[in-house]
Amino acid sequence: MAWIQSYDCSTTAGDHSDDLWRALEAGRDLSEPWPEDPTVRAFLFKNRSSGSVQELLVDKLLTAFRPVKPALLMGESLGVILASTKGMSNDFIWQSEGLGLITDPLTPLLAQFLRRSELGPKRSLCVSNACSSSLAAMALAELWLEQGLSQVLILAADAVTPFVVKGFQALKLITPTQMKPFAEGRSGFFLGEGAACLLLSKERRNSEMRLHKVGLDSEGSAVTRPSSSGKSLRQAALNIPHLLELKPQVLIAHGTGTLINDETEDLAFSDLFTADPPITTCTKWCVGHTLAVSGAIDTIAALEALRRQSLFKLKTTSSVDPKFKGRYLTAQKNDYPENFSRVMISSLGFGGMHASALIERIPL
Amino acid sequence: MIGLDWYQHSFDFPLASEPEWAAKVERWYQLDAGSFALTETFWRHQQSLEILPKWMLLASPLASNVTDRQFVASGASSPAKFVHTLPNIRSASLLQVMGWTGPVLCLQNDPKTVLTGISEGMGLALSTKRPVWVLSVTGAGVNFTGSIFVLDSNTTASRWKISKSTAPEMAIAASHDKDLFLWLNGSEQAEHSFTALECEIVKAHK
Repeated sequence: MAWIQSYDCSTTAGDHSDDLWRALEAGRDLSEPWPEDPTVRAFLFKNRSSGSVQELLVDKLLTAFRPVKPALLMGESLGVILASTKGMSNDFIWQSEGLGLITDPLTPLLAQFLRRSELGPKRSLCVSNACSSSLAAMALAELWLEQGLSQVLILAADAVTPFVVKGFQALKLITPTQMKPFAEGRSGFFLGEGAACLLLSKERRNSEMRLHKVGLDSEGSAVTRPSSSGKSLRQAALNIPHLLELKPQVLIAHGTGTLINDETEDLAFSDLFTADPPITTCTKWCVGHTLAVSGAIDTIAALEALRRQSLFKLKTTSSVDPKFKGRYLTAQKNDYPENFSRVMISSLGFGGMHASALIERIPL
Repeated sequence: MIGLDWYQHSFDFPLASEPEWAAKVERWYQLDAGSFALTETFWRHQQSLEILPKWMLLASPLASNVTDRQFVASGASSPAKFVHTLPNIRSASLLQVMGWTGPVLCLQNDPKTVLTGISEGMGLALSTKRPVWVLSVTGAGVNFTGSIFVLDSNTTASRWKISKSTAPEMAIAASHDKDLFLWLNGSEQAEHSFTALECEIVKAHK
């Protein structure tokens, strides 16, 4: 359990969580041709520095950190966790091959952020659990708070680079048309860039937003797809204590728009919440699949939804796959929840790494 | 103070023959060295690894850089190579062979990734009172080593003991992963204890 003191994010929608929210509500298509191969569309940062991948990501992390910084309690023990999949590996592998045998591609990114932010945390490290990295980092933050730290800063950052584009093209997961999560004719996703920052604390202070718990589970299924039973994804959710009694009213699903991801999520969560399924939506149609950052962006979308008591639709999905049993907030529906206080977030990662988080709004 | 044991296996990659556990892993022949290392290390030491962990922590120096370079060198078009270009992927085949599910975290903190894994594992083993495994792959070229560190507060028969360090923070910050492996390999002759991050490892008296 932890209290969320502050947060912000940079996405293709702009450099703040307000920009993310406005884009989600408006349903604007923010994708653009990827400069390295215009046949591919991607959701890119709009205000880009012209340097290396490392400089771009550190700049964006500092932008997301700036509004969060005033909530840090100076003098109190601090931990910092960076969630990323490839970090600055594009600089390593494509431009400076020798560097790749000296260090992993994430730690220099975190070190550069710590230098430029002038933070001196008691503990710091990087988490790389594929696309569930942000929620895995939040699970580790919960452990650190239990072990005695007062506050933990979660950072998340990933960029769209030739490495990841070519890899996902090889896997045929990038859609040639448009992202349509949970739709019958879905065909994959566009990649997106993102940087996010969340400050978690042990003490409530004046926060109304509580991270009830993150549940993790991993399975030895095929590397790029979860088991078709959804068992491990369901178990990750069930590792959140009292989840079924707490009944989240909203689910922000991973929703990559691939055949298998969406099918597994529908199966796992419709089996879990049989009587009163949560209203389900997702963010990737609007900001792309930001890989390790996606869980942090979904958490921020959940916090904004709870704060505003409003919800965004699956704007690019007009009709849901008829096989699915969940309650999806598609473009045509107005099935908004009223007075909701609990939102669940789901993340699936390559390697069978699943995570769920439950966020609650508890008024002061 | 909790028990610490270390199981390792060194090998040349690519393999010269089919592994004994091949039937348990779909398309085992597409695994990279990292995935093979953890699965084979478990397979060879499974008699000693009967008590399964509550948590697993993956902590490999250089993350998946070796496989990343192979993906790029082969033209960046092979899906079979791309799927291994994340350092967490290497647990997938291990979990299939073990038949285990549970929480896994993949940590990076070079040049102290293994030490960080052990330090975090110690905290988890103390708070859960259950065994925690820290899994690591080291090596490059054709020579690789898989390591499984077992941290268990319930064992009395471990080779080493680990506890929270009381040494000054400046002294603790100096040690790297290579220093740990050097000390573990020569600990019968070396100094009595090894201190790094927030932990102190000592030889157990049997």
